[in-house]
Amino acid sequence: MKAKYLVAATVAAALSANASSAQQLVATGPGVASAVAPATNVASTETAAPTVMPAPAVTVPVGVMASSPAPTCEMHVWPAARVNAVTQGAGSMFGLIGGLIDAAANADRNKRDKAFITSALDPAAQGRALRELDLPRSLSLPPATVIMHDEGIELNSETPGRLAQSSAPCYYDVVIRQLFYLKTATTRGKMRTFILVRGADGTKRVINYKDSANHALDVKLPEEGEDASNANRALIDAFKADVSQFSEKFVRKTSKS
Amino acid sequence: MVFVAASASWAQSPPVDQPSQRSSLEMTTSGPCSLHIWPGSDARSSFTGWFHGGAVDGDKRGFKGYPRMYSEVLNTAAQSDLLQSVDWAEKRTMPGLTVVVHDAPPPPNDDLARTTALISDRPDCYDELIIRSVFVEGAALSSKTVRLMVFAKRWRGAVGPPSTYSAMSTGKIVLADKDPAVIEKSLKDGFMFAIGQYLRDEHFLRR
Repeated sequence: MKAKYLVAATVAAALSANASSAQQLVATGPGVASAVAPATNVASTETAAPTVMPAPAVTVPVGVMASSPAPTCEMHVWPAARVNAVTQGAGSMFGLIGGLIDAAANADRNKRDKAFITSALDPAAQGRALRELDLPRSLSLPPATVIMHDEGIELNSETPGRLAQSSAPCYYDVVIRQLFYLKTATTRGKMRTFILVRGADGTKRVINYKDSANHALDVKLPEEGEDASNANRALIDAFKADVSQFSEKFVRKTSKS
Repeated sequence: MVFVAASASWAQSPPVDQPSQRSSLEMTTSGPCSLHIWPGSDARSSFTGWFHGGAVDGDKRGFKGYPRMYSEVLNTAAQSDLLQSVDWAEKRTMPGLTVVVHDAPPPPNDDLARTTALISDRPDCYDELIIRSVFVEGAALSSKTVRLMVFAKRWRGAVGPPSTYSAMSTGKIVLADKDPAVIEKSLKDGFMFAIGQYLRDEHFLRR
């Protein structure tokens, strides 16, 4: 029975995170404010010095003087603090006993897959992938100095304010909330990435959008002793594809409002 | 077999990315092949219970429902010590092998795609073995284990990219004992068992 709860709770957690993410868009548009506001919330898990990535190239629109090439915006990026992996066999379709047997049969595999994903997509790997994607540009946000944090952050909908101590007038948090791998008896393994984007205009929150995206993996996750190189690359590719898909959704939703 | 002081070795061949790094031990038999071994970052914990799971290092971060996993036992220094205790040349059956066990992990941005050696002036016959990750893990309906993720790169010849290999291995552990010394021993034994699994891997044994 407990095993059933385990599988159900894990899947439900992922699904509810997805459902609750129902595009909670408070407002749209990048916030560029003149007021400088102190940070209202400092993440307790922010322990290590973040890595500052060089700002992306700034394209100056026609008619705008390029007097200040340095971006005024800050984007803080937090890697995933949670990783889950669930493989369900056909047993999960046969009630409580079937679920229990299935959970027991896949317990080692789920443990292994979770560790593998955590290793392949550690904060450094996520940072490299996100750097390649040029987040401010792919999210259609103003050019920003991107600050990669090397430890994930736990937050809920009640977590107020900025997640990093910053007084930048134009400020964004991009939080990779969870990496979730799910393979069922009838589907290939899929990597789902849950992401939250928040934007602040001075003291006012102007963007609060959370959603997820998923992509199927074209390789199996490895067992002990198997060459893991291909799966490693496939996970990173899936993560980048997830973030790109999320970015497209984000741009679509925010441009409508 | 001759044991050579580490600092002398690095004076001849300083690492590219970590100039402050020192190898702690070099075992030399004047052979042409060289194996450099790097420990991983401090071990992380991973736990999935009946009602909790998903958080990485949940116990260290004080999350409810995450039992203590003692992953701090397998910090970088402990890994380096354990790696030094292995007779790598004998395991690889390469009598002329030069083995260097480093004290610190490679730079965090290192990954499988890298095609240049982590040291300068590598010999033509040069191998890298990198402990990429160490996990102390537990899950409902599954035993507790130490899990290693290992990257291996092999160069043969002065030019050309390396062959790259990555694999996982595990060793079972027991964390239920009340004596911390017993738990520490169990974790270290689990680490060594996992290393032993890799040493039997045909990729490692291939010259």
